[in-house]
Amino acid sequence: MSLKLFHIADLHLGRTFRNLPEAQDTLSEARYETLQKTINKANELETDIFIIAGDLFDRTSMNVGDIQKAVRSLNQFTGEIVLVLPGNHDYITADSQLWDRFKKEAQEHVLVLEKKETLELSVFKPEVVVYPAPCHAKHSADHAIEWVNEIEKDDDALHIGVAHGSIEGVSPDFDQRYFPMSIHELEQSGTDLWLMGHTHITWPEKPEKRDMIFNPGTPEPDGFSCNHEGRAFLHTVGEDQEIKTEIISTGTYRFIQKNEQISSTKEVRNLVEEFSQDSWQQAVVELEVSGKLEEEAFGVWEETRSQIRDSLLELRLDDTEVRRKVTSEQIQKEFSEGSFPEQLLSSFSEDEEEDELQMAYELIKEVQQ
Amino acid sequence: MKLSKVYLHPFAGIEADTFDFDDGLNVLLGPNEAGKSTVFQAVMHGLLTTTSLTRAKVEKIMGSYFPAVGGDVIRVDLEMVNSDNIIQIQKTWKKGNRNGSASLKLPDGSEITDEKKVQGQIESLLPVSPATMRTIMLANQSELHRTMQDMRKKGKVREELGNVLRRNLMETGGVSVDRFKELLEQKYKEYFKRWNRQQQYPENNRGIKKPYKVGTGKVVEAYYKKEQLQLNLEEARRFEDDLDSLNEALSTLIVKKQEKKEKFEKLSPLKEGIRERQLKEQKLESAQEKKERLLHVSKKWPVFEDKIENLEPKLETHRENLEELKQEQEKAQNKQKAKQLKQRIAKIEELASQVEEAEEELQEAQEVTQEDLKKLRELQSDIRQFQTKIEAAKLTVHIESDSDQTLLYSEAGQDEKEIAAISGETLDQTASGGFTLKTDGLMVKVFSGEGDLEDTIETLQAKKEELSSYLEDLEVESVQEAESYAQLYQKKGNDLEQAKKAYKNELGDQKVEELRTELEKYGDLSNVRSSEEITEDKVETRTALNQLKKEAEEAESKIEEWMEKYGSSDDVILELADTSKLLKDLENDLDDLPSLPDGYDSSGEFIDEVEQLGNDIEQLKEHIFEKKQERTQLEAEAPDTSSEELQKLYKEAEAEFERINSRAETLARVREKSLELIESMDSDTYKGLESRFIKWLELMVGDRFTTVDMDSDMPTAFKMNEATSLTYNLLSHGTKDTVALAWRFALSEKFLADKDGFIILDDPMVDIDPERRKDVVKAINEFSEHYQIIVMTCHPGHMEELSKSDLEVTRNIL
Repeated sequence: MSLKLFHIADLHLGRTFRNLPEAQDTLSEARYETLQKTINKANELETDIFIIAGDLFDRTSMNVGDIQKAVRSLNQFTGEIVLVLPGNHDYITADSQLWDRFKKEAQEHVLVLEKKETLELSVFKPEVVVYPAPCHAKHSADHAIEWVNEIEKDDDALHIGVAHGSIEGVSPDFDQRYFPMSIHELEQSGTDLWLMGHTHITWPEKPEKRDMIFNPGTPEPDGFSCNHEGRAFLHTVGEDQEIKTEIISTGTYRFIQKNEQISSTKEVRNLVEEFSQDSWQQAVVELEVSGKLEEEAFGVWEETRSQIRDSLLELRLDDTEVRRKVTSEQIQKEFSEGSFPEQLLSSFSEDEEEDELQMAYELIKEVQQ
Repeated sequence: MKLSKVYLHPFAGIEADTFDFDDGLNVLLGPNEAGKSTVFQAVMHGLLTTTSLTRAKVEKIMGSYFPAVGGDVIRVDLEMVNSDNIIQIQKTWKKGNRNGSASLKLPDGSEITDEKKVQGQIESLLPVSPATMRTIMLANQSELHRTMQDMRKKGKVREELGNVLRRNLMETGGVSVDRFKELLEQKYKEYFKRWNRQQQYPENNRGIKKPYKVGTGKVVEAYYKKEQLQLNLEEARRFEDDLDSLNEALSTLIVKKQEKKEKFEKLSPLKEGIRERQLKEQKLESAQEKKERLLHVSKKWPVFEDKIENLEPKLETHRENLEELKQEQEKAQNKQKAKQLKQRIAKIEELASQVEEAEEELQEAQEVTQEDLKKLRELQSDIRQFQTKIEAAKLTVHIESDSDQTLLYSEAGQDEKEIAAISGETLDQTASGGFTLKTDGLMVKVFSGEGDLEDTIETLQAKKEELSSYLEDLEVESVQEAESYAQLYQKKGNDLEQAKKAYKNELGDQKVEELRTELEKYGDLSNVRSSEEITEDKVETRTALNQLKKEAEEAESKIEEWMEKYGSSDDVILELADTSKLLKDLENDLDDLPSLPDGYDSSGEFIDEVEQLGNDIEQLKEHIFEKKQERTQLEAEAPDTSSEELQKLYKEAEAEFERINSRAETLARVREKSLELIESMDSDTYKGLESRFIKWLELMVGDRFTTVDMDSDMPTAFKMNEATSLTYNLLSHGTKDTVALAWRFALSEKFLADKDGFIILDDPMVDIDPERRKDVVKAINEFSEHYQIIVMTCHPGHMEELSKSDLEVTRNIL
């Protein structure tokens, strides 16, 4: 008989996306939908254990309705058990309003991994022993896994560590504030696998048989640092205790960063056209466009760029590097020799002061009759 | 390059028409509505507007030239002459997107049809830039002084003509320098208001702690936004850290409380039993002590009784020894007394012998008493008295003798002596009282006057004899010797007295014999020890005695105490039995009570710990309550955004600030350069232009103005005969047109220099009065001698005036 583990982390329910004024409501709501979808998916795949390795919630000050909404989804898991680890955003304290409410709403098979104590799941054969490393604070320079190493482990059981925090060399944590762990420490703790959370991108990118540390990334992307689609892991433990891990795509929205070059009207039109596909409606895009355009193409860009904004969930456009092609020939053609605009533009053009040239040209155009 | 032919088929109102032009002056006559301006526009677009236009641009730029009814195409063919080479240009504009076409035929017969290339080629053939072409050579007359008119309309007529003209040239690109400057300043303000560029900080050091609320530019706004977010970020981090540490403290307290509670719950049920145990243990302990005490008493009682018995004989012996030592001590004292007595007797005997010796010495000494001495001194004194009396009756005897003879001579009272009387010599003698001189046979007695001197001499003699016999009796030679003996004798007598006194003093009333008897009474004491030795023995013995006495007393008092406490030694045994039984009972009781858990040395320690746990738990509860309150307070001030999100926002705001600031700095540089340029253009660019301008103006207005005031190189005011001075805006319409035309000729001359070129004038003389028109015509004619000029007019009269020249004038009539 094989054991199936559905593993997600870092859903961050309750995130506000203050920096994305247009998308914020959609993105906020999407996270609850994604939770429901992952549960549905886990049920569909007939998984036994549903594990959330931290940061299910974005903060400890969640309102009751939102907690209820989350737990309602979790209660619907039809496998054996749901294990929820408090992460550094939804850390647990001795009398946590968040988790007290959560436990109140949760059905029997939904457990909060709140203590650094083994949890024996003897319902499974072989027995599964879970080693939770819950976070008790938002920040900590010390991780919560040191106790795992000290526990004597039965050879026959399957030992699963669940932890939340930065992994040295995998996740950025310059100030060592996020329960930092090293791969070595995790490997030496005596468990068969570690189900991790905190880093929003998937690691390892392509899980292999010999891997034992798994970080699925967020199931619903929440920022440009996670440029892939939302993901979960499905770990299948075979009879021989061999672990097979698959990436399950989850989530609806994407965060995409793009750099584009445009140099002609055609390219401008192509770029606008590219974003008109429906799939972009679910994307928050940070678009950096650069290029030098003839007056006409520049006009087309100015006219049509708003269409890109319309076809995206939210656009952050940086087109400061989209410039009119202002050449000395053009200057001569447009302004009579020796006239003020001709002299001003020519001097910037000769000195190759591109920014100044652009700005001067814009200003001149503004006052030109 | 000159224009030789224009063919429109169609263009605006003209269906198909050809206009030919030649070198020099050309006049095109036609009413406004007949398309005088149409030809002008056709030439301009034929030269300067591309045929490759978007649908919108076609509509915007060329829209008004399409035939009013039907027709979606317009065509302009131009023929140009460049140093006798003919260049043919054909342009077709069609409605719709880039539907037009163009063609350029070069003198070598080659033809270009690429629209862009055609346009490029045309522009390269033009003698001036397309912009100059458009704004000067092809300018509508009215455009040239539009700036001035605008100013008049807006009541902004402040500028001097020179400035106006200068602007007019500067703005030949259709760009108003004033408006440009205004825009720059406005933008500069928009960006930099309240920003100190040098310090890269808000003005007056008003950072985010004391920000400007209003009137700030984009840079300051972006700066404040960024700084505010940083503050928020710091605050959020501080809040999160505070909350973390508070939670940590709280967790520690709760865990501690839980641990204590568990322990308390485990231990407290045992408390009563252990307390009972503590009591019994205390009892047991005291019973054990009592038993030990009784055992001790029962053992010591007989020992002490024995001790008391054994001590008595020892005490007696010591007492006897002490008595003996006392007696020995007395003997030792007698020995001392005898020794002293013996010494005294010896001293007395010594003194007795001294008395004897003194007596003997006295006896042996010559006895001259003080009475003797007194008698002798009286006699001596008498003798001296008598002798003095005798010596006072002095006589001198003068003896002369005839022969030597010896005479006996005696002085009164003196002994007779022999004196020798020598012959021839005189012998003188002196005598006191009298003298006697005897010779053989003769005695002469001579005495002094006083009769009793003889008695005196006799008494003296008697006294002398008495003294001698006294001295004889005393067996001394002289009174002096007698005195010396008398002194010695007296001393010996005194010595004896002294000795006798000392003896008497020593002996007192006693007698030597008695003392000897007393000494004998002491008997032989030679074997008696010294008093010190005996005392030492005595102290030793007494100490030993006292020690024994004390021991005896202690034993006695102990037994007395015990008797009082226990009665008899048998009673002690009985009590001991009772105590043993009590001990056994207590031990049995303790066996039935819960035993003390491991890790405790005593029941007391256990009970203390349970009570301490109870107190600790209460205290921890209080602490936890306090911490929770603290946390509630802290959470009430929680920032609504997490530090991670704020970090993101801050980074974005920082980038935005950099972007705006960089853009602002670019603007600042553009502004700086623009102002520099405007200034330098103001000062030198148009040097020399004024002479041309004045030349053309003089040509057209003649003596109307005596002088033109110049501000550096620009005209500022026009002086009239009567010395009144007019600025541009005070000039009449006609004069203004004249001035504008003069200015246009001056500019065209400057730009074309010695190149081939043409200008088009659109009704230049409309507002000029007939009188002055002559002069204007003259000027136009003069200009046409150097350059091709096309004058368009709707006044046939003007055409006539222009044609009256000696020069050949090409005329076209619409």
